[in-house]
Amino acid sequence: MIKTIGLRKVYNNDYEAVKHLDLNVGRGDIYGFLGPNGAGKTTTIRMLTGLIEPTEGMVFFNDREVSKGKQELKNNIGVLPESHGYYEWMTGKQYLLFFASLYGMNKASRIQRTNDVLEMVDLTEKANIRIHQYSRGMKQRLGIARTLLHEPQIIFLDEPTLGLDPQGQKDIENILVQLNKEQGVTIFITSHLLKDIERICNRVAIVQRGSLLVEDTIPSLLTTYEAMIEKENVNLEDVFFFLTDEKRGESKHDL
Amino acid sequence: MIYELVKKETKEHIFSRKGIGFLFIVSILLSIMSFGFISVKELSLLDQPSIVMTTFKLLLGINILISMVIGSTMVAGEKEKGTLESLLLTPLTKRKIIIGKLIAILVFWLTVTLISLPYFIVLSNGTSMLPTILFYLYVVGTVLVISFSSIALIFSTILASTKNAMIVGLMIFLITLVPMFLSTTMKKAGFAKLIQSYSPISASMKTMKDLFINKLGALDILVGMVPVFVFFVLALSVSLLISKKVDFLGGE
Ligand SMILES: Nc1ncnc2c1ncn2[C@@H]1O[C@H](COP(=O)(O)OP(=O)(O)OP(=O)(O)O)[C@@H](O)[C@H]1O
Ligand SMILES: [Mg+2]
Repeated sequence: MIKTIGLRKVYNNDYEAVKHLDLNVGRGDIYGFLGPNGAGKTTTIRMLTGLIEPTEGMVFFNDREVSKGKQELKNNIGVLPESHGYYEWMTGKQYLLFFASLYGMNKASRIQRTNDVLEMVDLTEKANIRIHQYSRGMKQRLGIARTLLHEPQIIFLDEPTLGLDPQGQKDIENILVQLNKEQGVTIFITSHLLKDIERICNRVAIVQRGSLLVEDTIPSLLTTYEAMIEKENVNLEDVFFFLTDEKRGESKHDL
Repeated sequence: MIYELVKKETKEHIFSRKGIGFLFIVSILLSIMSFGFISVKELSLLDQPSIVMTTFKLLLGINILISMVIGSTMVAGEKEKGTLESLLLTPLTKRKIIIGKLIAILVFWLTVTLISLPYFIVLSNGTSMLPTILFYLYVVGTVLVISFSSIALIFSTILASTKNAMIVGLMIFLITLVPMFLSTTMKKAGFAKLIQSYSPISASMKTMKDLFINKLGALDILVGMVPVFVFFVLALSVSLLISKKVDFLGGE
């Protein structure tokens, strides 16, 4: 569904945040996009969603190059940006109705769809409360509801569980799995919670300093690295540290 | 689509606590001025055209100031609150976002003109100035408000913080005001003369004076108004061009 070729981003002509990235996200995937702080995850999402232009390389959405059809892309993706804010003076419902209207829905479908997505994220009861009274978890769920308004084929979530308590994380996780299972929404997610990612994702990519270290399904990833990591029951976290640490080791050698 | 954006912007910036506060200040000022003109002896000796002109000048000046403050917050404020990215991801184009915000600022100006109308009717009572006043409010004033607001919106888009956007925008406004602070002789020399001849604000004030006091004809007024319209076309087209090109999330 999403494919990139040689994606690269240089900021201010001197900082290479993303170096030659080739990614493949399939329809129906829950795709985990992992990497340490500053690896270039947010930068990559911004390029995939058309918010910033790549310095080099191409992004394809359903085999169509993104830079040639921004509006089509916008109509088919939902995005929850990294540290996003809300119009706190609106109620949750007003917020969703506002965005639904920006997607060009007519009044009847706006109201219907808003009620539907509120239900999906379990905010129906809080719909008429102003957002500034929402807890962090509720805001985050409202954000996810917003990404779903126009029934996108894929949603991008940049650290959707950031700052949430375990219950809040669990709630988001359940919502995502349900969306994927029941409505077939493809999900592209970044997170530092590797255990959760391992549980819900079928495919992951690990990036570091703008470079792709690996992209694979989780079972295949674990099998590949089992032999190299001297430990029983290797999990995603072990693979993550193994890959990112080894890289650090190499760069130390270089010095 | 754009209508919904205008609605949101108006609720957030114009008919919000802050916006209503601004409107309140404008009405208080108008009341104080009118009361002053009518009651204080020396001031009431001023002829009616001068009174109307001073009131209009002040009203427009304050309104441009407020519009620029609101305009500077409109995009940079969304960057600061983290709401801009989601807006940019909707089918709204960057240009439509700017136009929507511009229209909301105009709603503010229209409200101000409506508030000021009764005052002008009273101040121009017994003369034939009202049609000219209406022309200045709804044509010249609107054109100037759009020009300055689009400048504020440009800087709000380019710069990351509301504060910086406001500072740069207000500096530009102040430069166009320079002639007001200068004596007549100073206006005749160098840089001051340059601003005096090209400042849209000076041009609008001068033509108003020409109409009311020097009683010049329509053609002279039109010629005198050229800076106003050149400034309008420049400010608006540059802002619409920039809005398409600029990286809204830049400067972070
Ligand atoms: N607008 C920008 N201008 C210049 N440099 C930037 C900009 N945005 C990000 N960077 C730099 O690019 C690198 C990658 O940043 P990015 O936000 O994509 O990382 P990330 O993987 O999302 O990190 P995190 O896990 O902390 O969210 C960082 O070193 C960051 O400082
Ligand atoms: Mg990030």
